[in-house]
Amino acid sequence: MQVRNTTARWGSVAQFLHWLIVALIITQVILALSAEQLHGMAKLAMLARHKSVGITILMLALVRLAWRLINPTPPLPLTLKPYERFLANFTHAALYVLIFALPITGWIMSSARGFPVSWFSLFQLPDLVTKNRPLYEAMQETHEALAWTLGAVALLHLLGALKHHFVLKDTVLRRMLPFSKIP
Amino acid sequence: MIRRFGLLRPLAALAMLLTAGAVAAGGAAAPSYALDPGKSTLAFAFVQAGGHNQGRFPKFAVNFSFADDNLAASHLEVTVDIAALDSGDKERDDTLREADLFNVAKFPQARFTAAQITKTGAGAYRQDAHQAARLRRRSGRLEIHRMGGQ
Repeated sequence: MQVRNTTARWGSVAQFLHWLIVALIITQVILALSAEQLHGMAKLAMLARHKSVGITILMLALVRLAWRLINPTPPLPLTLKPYERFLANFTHAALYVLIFALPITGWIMSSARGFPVSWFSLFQLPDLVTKNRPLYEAMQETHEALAWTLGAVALLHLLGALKHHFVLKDTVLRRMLPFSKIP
Repeated sequence: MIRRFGLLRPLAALAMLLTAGAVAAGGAAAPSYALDPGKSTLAFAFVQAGGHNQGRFPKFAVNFSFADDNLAASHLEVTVDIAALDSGDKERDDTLREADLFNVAKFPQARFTAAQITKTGAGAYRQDAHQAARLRRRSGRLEIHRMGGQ
């Protein structure tokens, strides 16, 4: 498999970034739900992991967007109906927006609460805003709403991929799978 | 106050404004000083999971006798109401008060006492001190810098 994308399939870098971010988003859900069950030091430690993984996703999102912009994008099949084409473009755009918006709202939320964000205790990131309780509360609600939105859009994305593979029987799913053969 | 516990590594700094009080009866050579609470701060800093945080102990009492020419009779004792700590976040304050950290239910106060003050330079002194907080006793040194004219 090629490193760079071709018009027929995603290259290894794009695939690696896609699947790594999938794994990290699932990790984030687990860490966030675990933190809700805890309190005190254990909760702070779990949230620190959640924030570190979130910053990792933000950095990967930047790399991913840059990589997409300097690579060819495998086009959607020409046989798609207009609504399918719209849904595909909409979900992809929304997913890109969300992998930036979730970490950034989380970071603002932390800063507004007065809890600094560090990346795995290796370095501390600057506060994005000064301490501001109403802003913290607004960001917490936004972060949670965006998380649910990401869940819904990711589900749509998954259903779309399955429809391409099992109903439309095209290569759209396989071209993002590392070990698949594309004729 | 220097404590190390798990992910929390607090350090404290004390800035006091003291005014000379009456010399104790009996001719003690080191006059006692009274704390001006409104102009004094006992701050602490701690690192939690890589994030640097600060807080204050708003309630503390100081017993300070000092004479430059009689350091043997000079003495500093600071008593801190640990339960009153303020890191600027109620949930975090409650965490700091819990049993695995300051354990304020059992140890509501910390006391910093010292016997020997050593002069280390012009207007600078060092106090060999020990601090009793929670179960452990710690030895430490406090650097004292004299500011102002009196």
